[in-house]
Amino acid sequence: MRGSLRRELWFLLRDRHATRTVFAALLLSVLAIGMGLREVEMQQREVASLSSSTLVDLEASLDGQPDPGSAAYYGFRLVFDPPSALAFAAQGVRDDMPWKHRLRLLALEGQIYESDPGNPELRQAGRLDYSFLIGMLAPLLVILLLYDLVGRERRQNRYHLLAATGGNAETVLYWRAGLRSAALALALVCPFVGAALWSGAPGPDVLLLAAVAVCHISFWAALTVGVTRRIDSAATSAAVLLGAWVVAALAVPVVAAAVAERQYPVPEGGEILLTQRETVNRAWDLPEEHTMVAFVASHPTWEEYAEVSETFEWKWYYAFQQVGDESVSEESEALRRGIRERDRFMGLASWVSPPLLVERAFSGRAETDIAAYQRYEACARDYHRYLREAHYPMIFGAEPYDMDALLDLEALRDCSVAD
Amino acid sequence: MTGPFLAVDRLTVSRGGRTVLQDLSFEVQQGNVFALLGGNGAGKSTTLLTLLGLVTPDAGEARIDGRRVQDDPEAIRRVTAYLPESANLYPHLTARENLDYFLSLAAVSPSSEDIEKALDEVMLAPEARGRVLSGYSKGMRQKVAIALAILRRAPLLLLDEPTSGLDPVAVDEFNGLIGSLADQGTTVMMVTHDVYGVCHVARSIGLLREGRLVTTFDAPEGERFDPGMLHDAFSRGAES
Amino acid sequence: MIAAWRICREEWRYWSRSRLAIAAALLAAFVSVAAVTSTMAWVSAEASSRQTMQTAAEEAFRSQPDRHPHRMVHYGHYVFRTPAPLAVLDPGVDRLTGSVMFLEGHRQNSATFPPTYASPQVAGFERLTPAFTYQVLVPLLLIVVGFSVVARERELGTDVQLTAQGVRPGHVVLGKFSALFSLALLLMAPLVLGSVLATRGGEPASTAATLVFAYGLYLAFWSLAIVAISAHASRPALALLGGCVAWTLVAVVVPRIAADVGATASPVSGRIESDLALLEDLREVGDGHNVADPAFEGLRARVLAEYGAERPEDLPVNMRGIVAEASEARLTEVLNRYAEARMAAELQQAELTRRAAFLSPTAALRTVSMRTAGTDLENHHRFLRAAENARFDFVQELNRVHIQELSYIDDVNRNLDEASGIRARVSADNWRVLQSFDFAPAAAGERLRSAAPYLLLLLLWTVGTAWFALAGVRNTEGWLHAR
Repeated sequence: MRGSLRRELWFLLRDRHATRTVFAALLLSVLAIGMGLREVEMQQREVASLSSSTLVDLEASLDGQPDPGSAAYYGFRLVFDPPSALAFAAQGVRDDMPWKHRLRLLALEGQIYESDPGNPELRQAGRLDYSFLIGMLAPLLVILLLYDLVGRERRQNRYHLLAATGGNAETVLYWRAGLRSAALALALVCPFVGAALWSGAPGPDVLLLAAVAVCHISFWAALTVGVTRRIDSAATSAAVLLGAWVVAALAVPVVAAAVAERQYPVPEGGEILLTQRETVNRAWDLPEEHTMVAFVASHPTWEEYAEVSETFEWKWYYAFQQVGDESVSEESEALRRGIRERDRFMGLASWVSPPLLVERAFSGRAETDIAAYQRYEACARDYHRYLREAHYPMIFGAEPYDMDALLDLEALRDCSVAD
Repeated sequence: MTGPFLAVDRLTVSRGGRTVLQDLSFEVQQGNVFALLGGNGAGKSTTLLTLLGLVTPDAGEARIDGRRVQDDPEAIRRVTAYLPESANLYPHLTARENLDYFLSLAAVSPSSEDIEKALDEVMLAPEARGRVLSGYSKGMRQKVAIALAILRRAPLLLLDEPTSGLDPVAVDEFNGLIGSLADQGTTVMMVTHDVYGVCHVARSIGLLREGRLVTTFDAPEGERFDPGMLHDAFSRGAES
Repeated sequence: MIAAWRICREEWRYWSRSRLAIAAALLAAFVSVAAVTSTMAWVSAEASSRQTMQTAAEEAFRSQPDRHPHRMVHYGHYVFRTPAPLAVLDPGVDRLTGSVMFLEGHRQNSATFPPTYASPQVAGFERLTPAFTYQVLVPLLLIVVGFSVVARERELGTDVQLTAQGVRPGHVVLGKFSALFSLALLLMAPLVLGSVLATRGGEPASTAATLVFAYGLYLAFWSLAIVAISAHASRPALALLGGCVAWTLVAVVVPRIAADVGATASPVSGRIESDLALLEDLREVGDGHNVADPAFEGLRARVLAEYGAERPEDLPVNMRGIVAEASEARLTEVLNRYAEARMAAELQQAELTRRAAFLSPTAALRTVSMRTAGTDLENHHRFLRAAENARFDFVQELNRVHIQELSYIDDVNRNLDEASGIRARVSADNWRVLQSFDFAPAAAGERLRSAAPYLLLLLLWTVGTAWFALAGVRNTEGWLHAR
């Protein structure tokens, strides 16, 4: 046993092709992690600078506001979802979906879809993050490392020689394949574990993801050995494996996404915006009672304050903002539900696509998946409700206008803090 | 035509810093069957490749039909049929398709009757002719390769270890074929290490050792070589 | 030449008898047909729904009742970006950028709802667009079909046999390349069809043809690269290995790393962050709603002097409107300064990233393709500028109505009671000032000019690879003894 290990280790180190592949894997791994860490650091810096400038800006813009309505109109507050400790490994949907908002008391539906994405042409190229490396490129590295293991012995007629001298050629080959995959796994996983622990990720998560990576590599190693044993030509078996990779990594996710989109229709985002805007604006032309009745129906607490006597009152203004939101709440909920259902379907589909499964595992643990985005969106909605509830007493006149109380409100909400 | 059909004069070839052939000289007359006999690494295959113009000699020259090989190797290759050690044909094509393809590349366009006639001549079973070569035995593949040489109507036939791996029946058939081609005027040159096999087909033999021609023998008129004598000569060469 | 033709035909016969080649070619054919049809369906659905919503938004604006003109400034307007006709082949950044933008006074909003907003999260690779298919997938499948073209001859020893028939090595390369490239051209049929349909959708023939040409050139590059690698490899398995490594680097790794390098080398601050600085500057512009804002003191004095009036009430025009107009103009200047700075910074990132074309023909083609199709970053910026122009125009048009159609006294007294509120309204006919928003990508000539340098780079890649392929078999000895 130890003899086999030492012999095969020696053999591995003497194999230039194998050592080069492992080295390339190590390089890619370090590169992907380095780029991920840099991205996370930029996001953290952005959060920090936004937080401080939001506080400064809030104080400046509330200064001298004559009434709670104006204070609410000009006061922007920050809600954000900082990158998790594992976000460096999987950027997930954070490139496309918003994870920070400067909110004010106006209709939320008009604000919540505002996103702050980076340069689209750069995003279009895609990201080489760690989850992409493990999910998509690691299988290719495994295939490159192992496709010729059996073929080479056969070609040089050593297969039977091995069998004759080593007792069991299969055992030797398994040793060889196992050792190579282990070397590859080490090269790919070690930098990740180091970086994850360094950035303070929870141990069990790191362990789980490392196990996912190792399992994925083992799966492709087993598949590669299985295929190469059944097919004589190394080239043919490699081509068959590449075909399997194309199907698993590309075809299945793309087809699944197409099916998901067809199966679970979602309302058009543009329609939600148009409807909401239309409701808000129509309110200006309708009698004030119309708005207030609708508002009180969902906010009975304010019934006794609902009377509007002047041509313009802030409580009416904020009431129709809220009514505007409520007018599309069904569509907006349907949109979120649709996204959730599509994601659930992709989760099912990922069971036939190991690369997709791996990427989902990573973005799930890194809290950069659709579920995390929806948690953030819920958190932002919750924060908006908090702001409304904090402002309404002053806006509706139940409490006197108190600027200090408004400045004391939670001005920054960090959605990563579990509530 | 006067003079030998194939003339090799003081040929020296070195590859990778090692001299493979040194001052090799021999001549083969038209219609003769000349065998270069030598052990492993004696330089047999290099000699053939040099004749095909695929290896450039450092010194000396080879002439085929009076023309220097190095001057226009492609013209030389057009008059030469070459049979590599393992018949290098396409396993995914049938015998007929292989012949048709390679002949068209050589700008020869035989009729399908010509092809059938050639396959008859090499005694390839008719039912095998439409099957792809991947199911052929080595002897069958060799027959197709010889058929190709026949159809090329090349005046010079170069053979590399033609009988290695063939069973005795196939060897006999092969020897018969070569003999009849030579009788029709084809010049044949082969390289081999098979002392016993070569006796049955060669009409003159050169003994090659470490890139040098040690000696040449001619078979007695109308007779075959004596295997014992050849074996002795071969062993002596190997010892000294 | 005849030999090359025979070798090409023979390669096709080999493929027709190789299950692997057939499977890979069928997969490639299926994927390219699926990519083109599905993207065409998606883009045209997207285009028509955006067109419908655009019309609806314009209708809604024009059918608003009599109102105070400044109300309409805040009522705002929506513009939708209709995709370029060639977006059916390369949606480019269109998929990632918002398709709807809300235009209102005093603010530049960002575009929301990119088509990807509700689309399921697909691992790592983008959706199956024709651009992605032909840039990334088809080359890989061509490798699977063709990796052995030359190396196989070597393995079987038929290279010697070919040479013995008087075939020149150059003929072999030419024949094998022709076979692979003819397969690639066949696979391009859906792309060609798509571009023909795009010309019927209003795309100039020049850009459509250039797009097809660029993809043809790119696949010629890969066909040559595959033949070259195969010619340099001693065994088919090594040729496949080399092809895979080349593909991974050229088509996957380099473009992605380049994007990251671009983002790192010239970072662009987030929009929310720059908006905060923007707000700071905007405070200095003054509040256009407040006619008494000290920031407009000089303007007020100038207008009064111009009409020889003492008080705003004596003017034939509405001072509140004049202040609003001036404030909007100043504010827009600040907004545009920030927007232009941001676009310039994004462009700088993109320019840096596009230099990857020197390292990867895929990166070169990506740029050629997006620029020719009119779906690159510049074109996104074009949309942003067009939307901003539309915003500024309609706001200032409303401000002119405010100046001319509404008396200052009625305006000032608008909040006294309901009747005065009604007096402070102007006729709904004025809402017809809204121009229809019709966004089109840059003119064909401009797009082609901007794509030209990258097309040239792609050409150089192809020529260089052709040289490399021939070098693999430069002389007969070389091609036989690379064993």
